[in-house]
Amino acid sequence: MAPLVSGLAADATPLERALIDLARRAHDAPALLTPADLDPVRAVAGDDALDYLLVLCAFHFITRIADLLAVPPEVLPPALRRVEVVRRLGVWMTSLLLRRMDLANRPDRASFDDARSRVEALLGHPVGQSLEPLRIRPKVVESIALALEERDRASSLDRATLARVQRTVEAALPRSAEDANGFQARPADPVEGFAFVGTRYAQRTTSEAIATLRRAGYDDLGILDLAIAVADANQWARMFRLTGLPPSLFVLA
Amino acid sequence: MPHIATVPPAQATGETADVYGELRRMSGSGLVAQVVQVFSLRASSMRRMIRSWELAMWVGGAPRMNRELVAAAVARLEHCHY
Repeated sequence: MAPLVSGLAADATPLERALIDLARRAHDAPALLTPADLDPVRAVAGDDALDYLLVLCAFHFITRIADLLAVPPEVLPPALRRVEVVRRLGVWMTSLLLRRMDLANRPDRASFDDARSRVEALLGHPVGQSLEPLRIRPKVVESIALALEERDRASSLDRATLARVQRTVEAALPRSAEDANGFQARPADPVEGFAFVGTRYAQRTTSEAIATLRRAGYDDLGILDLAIAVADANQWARMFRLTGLPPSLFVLA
Repeated sequence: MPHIATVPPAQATGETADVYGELRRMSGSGLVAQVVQVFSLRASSMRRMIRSWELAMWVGGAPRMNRELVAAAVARLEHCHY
């Protein structure tokens, strides 16, 4: 993985190079993404480009949840991974766990029309042609419906807080590698600070940041919902830019 | 330890226990990933996480190895500890 990400893997396929390049752009400067950034993947993989887009966005969600909430690693704590022998043992143990999983591909059981209707029901209005770029992969529309259900039916946060999280994520979205990896002043407000760090470098989230949220009145469920809101806003920020969908499908006014 | 409370599979009851069962059926193994357990304070959110994971990594025709490549690249670039 390291040679691939660093661009030093001599035997990488054109698709692997295109996927890594897309992942790097989506990390370093997501604010500048456009649908053209997906073209190199589409040129090699055709319609599968939307499968990879969904993986990319889903993992911008999952990695943020993991880092914002300090989810324990499945096998080895990070400190032990620095010992090469132990790290290799961990990889072997992980492979044993994965071997028990069914990793075969499955058909997309949702139809585009059904998935679009689900989105329209959640939004309370028709979406016209705006989801057409996803017609060939209804599962991406279903993923949008799942995020809307989470936002509108499950979250304990009020609309004003959800909108504030989304605005903070949009404003913090990196425009350069320096934004994504450097050191910048973060907002003093606990919710906005949580969203800012969760957007630029979620792995720097501290126990003190969580304690600050608790002092501001957020309990465990509230903190979970803040993390979900930050993670969803981050995956959506990349999805709408790479597909050309209207931001208003998910962004609150 | 995660920053928030969770309901481990052995202590889950009702809908939460049902969703853990759905996860086992979805993945075809007894493994209950920690990143799924962290949603366990609310069963509907845990169900959403499981379905999102399935849509991204299982559903469709793209080769699994390439999907794992994208997932691993995102995690590495983000310096995700998990």
